Amino acid sequence: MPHPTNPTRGVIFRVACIAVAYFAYVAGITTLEGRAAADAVPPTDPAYAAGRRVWLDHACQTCHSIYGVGGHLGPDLTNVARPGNAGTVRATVANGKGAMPAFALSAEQFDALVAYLEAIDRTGVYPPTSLGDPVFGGMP
Amino acid sequence: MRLVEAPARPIRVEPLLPERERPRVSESEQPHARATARSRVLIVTPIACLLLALLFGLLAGLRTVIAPAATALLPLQILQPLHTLMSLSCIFSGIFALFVFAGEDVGARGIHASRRTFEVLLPAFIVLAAASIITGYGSGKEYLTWAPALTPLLVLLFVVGGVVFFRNAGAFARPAPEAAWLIGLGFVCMGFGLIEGNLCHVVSLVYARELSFEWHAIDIVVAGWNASLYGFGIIISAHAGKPLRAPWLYALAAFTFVSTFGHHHYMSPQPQTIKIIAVTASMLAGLSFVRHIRASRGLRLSPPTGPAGPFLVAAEVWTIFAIGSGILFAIPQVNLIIHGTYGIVAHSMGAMIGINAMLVLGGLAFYIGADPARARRVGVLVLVANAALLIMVLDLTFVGLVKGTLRLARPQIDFETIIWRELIPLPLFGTVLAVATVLICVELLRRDRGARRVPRAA
Repeated sequence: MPHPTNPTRGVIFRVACIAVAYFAYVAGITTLEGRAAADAVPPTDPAYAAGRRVWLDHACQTCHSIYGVGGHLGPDLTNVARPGNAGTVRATVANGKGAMPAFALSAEQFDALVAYLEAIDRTGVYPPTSLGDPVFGGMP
Repeated sequence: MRLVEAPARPIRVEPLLPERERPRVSESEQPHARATARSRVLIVTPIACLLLALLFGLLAGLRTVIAPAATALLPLQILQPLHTLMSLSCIFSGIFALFVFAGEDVGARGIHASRRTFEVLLPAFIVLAAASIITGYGSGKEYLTWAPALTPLLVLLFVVGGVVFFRNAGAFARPAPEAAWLIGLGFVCMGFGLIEGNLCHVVSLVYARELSFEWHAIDIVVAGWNASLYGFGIIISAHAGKPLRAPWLYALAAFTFVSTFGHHHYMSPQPQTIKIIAVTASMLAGLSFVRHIRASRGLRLSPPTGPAGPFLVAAEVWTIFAIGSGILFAIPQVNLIIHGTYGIVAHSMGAMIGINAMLVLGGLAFYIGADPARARRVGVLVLVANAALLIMVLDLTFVGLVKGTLRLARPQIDFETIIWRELIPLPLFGTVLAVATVLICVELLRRDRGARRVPRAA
């Protein structure tokens, strides 16, 4: 550690150390394995990528969250596209519900959005349904 | 450049160091010893952004309460990103303004060139970013809501600031070493975070990885602006001359700085190791909490004075709240209930308005100068604004706890229809907060105009 009476060196040294720690941490994020099902979602899958584009272009996270991250006005959508629920998703998006406006998406956009949400659904369960649930999440 | 006489103000340097170790500050490096006109653009920009953030926040709050009637009139998918953009723009432009003013006071090389760069590019970025959201080209993400193509412009500003800072690290460090490394760290981390947040536009990432990068980026940007603002907080308080913190405290700060972000995602599929590190880092922040509690005793015995005094008191109180609630919410069992609710919004609202906005306004008040005749008025307005904020934060926390508890039984609950009455205090007290903040800003702008009318120096 630089001598405390040389503040210039101390300032630069301290900033540089945290910059190194930052890169080490980012490297960690890059290499550590996540939950297997989430790591299995292929980012290059055209349907997934297109669905994600629809999600971002319409700023869905303003009102909705995934894994609790996003807006809190509407329900969390982590598991909304569970098997057998795709029709409800399409109807809600197309017609609106309560305070949610209707969105005029093309058939391709609907398919892509549902594919995106189905991929998310396969990665885990949220929100917790009891205080006894695993605190770090888990699979269905 | 127009030269005016700066308002006379005594400069207090707290004797934290023995006389022989105390940094030697030349007359020209002392705050306000240089007769330099403060940039009008850099003073007005953060104030305008703050007022717009309040306006959009207020409209979003109204939209929440009268939802069905206002869906088309006040589309939340535009209001909310605009509110976020203006909040962040207030903080960013506040940091650039305080950086330029602090740099001018220490006679930093290149500070005038960076001032001109900020004066032109910063408003340009804010206008273009707002236009991108209104026209539907926003990012669709949280916090970094503008069109991703505009991010390089913002990164450029941090690069310019960072280069000027490191060219003048000695000048910044001499009067306040502890403040200097925090300011420099902030510039570096905000730049890194903005780049990391846009990584997904360059490379394809699996879902868990993308989630981790997105939120680590946001946390690093937030940690960066907090570091810079606390650095300026040291400068504008009576702690000029504060030495670097002890190495072990620094190491602890560095660890928590880069790794607490995982507590946003305990339930998500991101790597388990990240979550365990995040719990550890978040609990270690308890030490910071204890230090701030101890510091608050000193605050009661000898509250900070001067034009920034009321803002500094508010920032310190909200710091205790933010660290305390952050640690509490990071406890995994508590996180199970509170995550994904308005409780988290309460935490970030308290931090962004109570700490960040107060430090920006306090910094501007410090550099604009004092008006002793109206100091009491500003003190009362700051108190009213923070009281309204406290009520909003308590309301949001309550609503968050209700939702967190209710959803245990009904996970796919349609929350809006159940809880909207409890959200009514938001626009009501949001109006009080907005009015008090507008009046504070009017006071600052009035002082600034008055300072510019002082006859030119001989």
